[in-house]
Amino acid sequence: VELMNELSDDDEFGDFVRRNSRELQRSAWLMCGDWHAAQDLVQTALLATWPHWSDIRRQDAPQVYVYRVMVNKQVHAQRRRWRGEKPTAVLPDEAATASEPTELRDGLRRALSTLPDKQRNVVVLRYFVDLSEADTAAAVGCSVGAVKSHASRAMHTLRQSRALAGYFQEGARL
Amino acid sequence: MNENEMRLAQLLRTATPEPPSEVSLDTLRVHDVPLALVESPDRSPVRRRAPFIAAAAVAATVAAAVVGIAVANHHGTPNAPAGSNGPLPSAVSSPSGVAPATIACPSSQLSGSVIGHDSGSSHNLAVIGVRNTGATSCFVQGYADVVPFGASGLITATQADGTSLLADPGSHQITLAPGALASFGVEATTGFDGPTTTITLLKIYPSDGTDSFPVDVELSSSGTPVQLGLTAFQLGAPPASSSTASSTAPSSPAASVQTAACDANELSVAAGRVDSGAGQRNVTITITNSSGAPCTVGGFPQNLIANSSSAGDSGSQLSITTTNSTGSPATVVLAKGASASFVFHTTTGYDGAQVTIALLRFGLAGSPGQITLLIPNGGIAANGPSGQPIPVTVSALQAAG
Repeated sequence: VELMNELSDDDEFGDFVRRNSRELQRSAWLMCGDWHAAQDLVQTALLATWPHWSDIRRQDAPQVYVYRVMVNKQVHAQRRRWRGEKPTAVLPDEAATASEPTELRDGLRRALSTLPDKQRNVVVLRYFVDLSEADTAAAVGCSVGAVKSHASRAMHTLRQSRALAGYFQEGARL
Repeated sequence: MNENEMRLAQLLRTATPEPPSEVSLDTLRVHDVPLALVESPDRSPVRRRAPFIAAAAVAATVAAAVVGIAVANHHGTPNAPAGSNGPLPSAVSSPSGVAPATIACPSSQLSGSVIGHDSGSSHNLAVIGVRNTGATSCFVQGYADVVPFGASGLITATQADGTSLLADPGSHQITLAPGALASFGVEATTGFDGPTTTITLLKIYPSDGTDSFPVDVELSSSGTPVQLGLTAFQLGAPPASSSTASSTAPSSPAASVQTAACDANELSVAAGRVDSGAGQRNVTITITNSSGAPCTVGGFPQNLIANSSSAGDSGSQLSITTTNSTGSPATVVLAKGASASFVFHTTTGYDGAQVTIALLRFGLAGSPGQITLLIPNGGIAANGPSGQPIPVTVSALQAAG
């Protein structure tokens, strides 16, 4: 019976990975800005999750645990990423329009790369993954109040971003 | 959510690209092969995993043959997915035209020991020396995979690149002649809540990834899973100044691998794009070891001369005043083809006449010769205070990824 349980644990984990693969990878892309790092990040997070699966699966939202591991791992890999992806105060001119899908994607990546890590991760978890403020706080490792202030600062920066020029309504209240 | 928040959510949903491939459990299994080879420690995680591995017993045997490649590629050998403009962690590992070294060192040909350690407020670092005990040359590359054990067996851990106590040289292929030493840092974090776990043994899977060799260590850690940071393999012991404190490395191995300062004439140099904003001008200047042997650079660039003409004639020399930015200078060992960089900063924020810096000359601490660099794309615009030299700031040299 124990063996059966173990097998079903692994089956269930496999199922979890299949169901969440797309969203985990897309979130990781938003956190990292390229697929190579994103896939690394997802794999590491899943490997770290696997041994604890029998505990995690009983939680309401096991993916919050995975996102938390992803955030930790991403912050630790920060210096490596920083050598490659340098935020600039003023974005290059060629990103001024954001209409075509590829331009929009590029604009998004450029705009996100100007955000500090915490703000960037809060944006991804709160607005892309659609986690609650409390779950975002748990995953990022800060208070609900800090989530709000990270989100609001990030929103301010993104609205000013030339890479996303014209995307947000001018003058709209935050 | 207000309107802007909803627009952001919509943007994220529509503009985020589709992943190029699924995360499959097969890939996880390949990464997991080292754990499967661990001799059944008395801990549930591995036991729970056992049936899963067993179900893939055949696959795992095949995977073991493939895993060397998988691990070697894991840390960014230059085959990023098409269309990715993202960072490539290992830039230049061997200059073109030089034959890559022999074979990946098998674990049976390596022995390891702790050659130094260091600790910070929430980190403990062990520097692992890895010696080629075989009769032939072989290489190690990038980041090792390490599996930690404590008094009660396997310790669940995540592994990330980079440490806070030791400069990470970045992923390079390091050729080890018989008897030669390479090293890397393993750092455990103690800053998390919860009980402290002491890591007493590390099983180290080098580049070939198929089997491990053990190293006795003593590293305190906390958190579940334990978070380990690693630096990439570098030739010899890490330079003493790149570790912040007491290295207990015995002098003999360090001395036997001491490398000389790079000759400026054997360095190639390149300037990155000029980053401009708010009156600030920043350029990352990268120097690459184009000689046939490892050498060292370090400290701050010295005796900086700027010219407004790319001819570099004396009539065009600009009046500048150079400051070293904060940041601690460290010695960087450059393998053949490896790079280090520093940031050159100036400003257009003053009211003096604007000049264009078209050419830079500088020297390096301990290095003979001088480096000359033409600034591409029309040079760097700069203004100093009226009638005074143009302020310039340079950062210390550091290993470039």
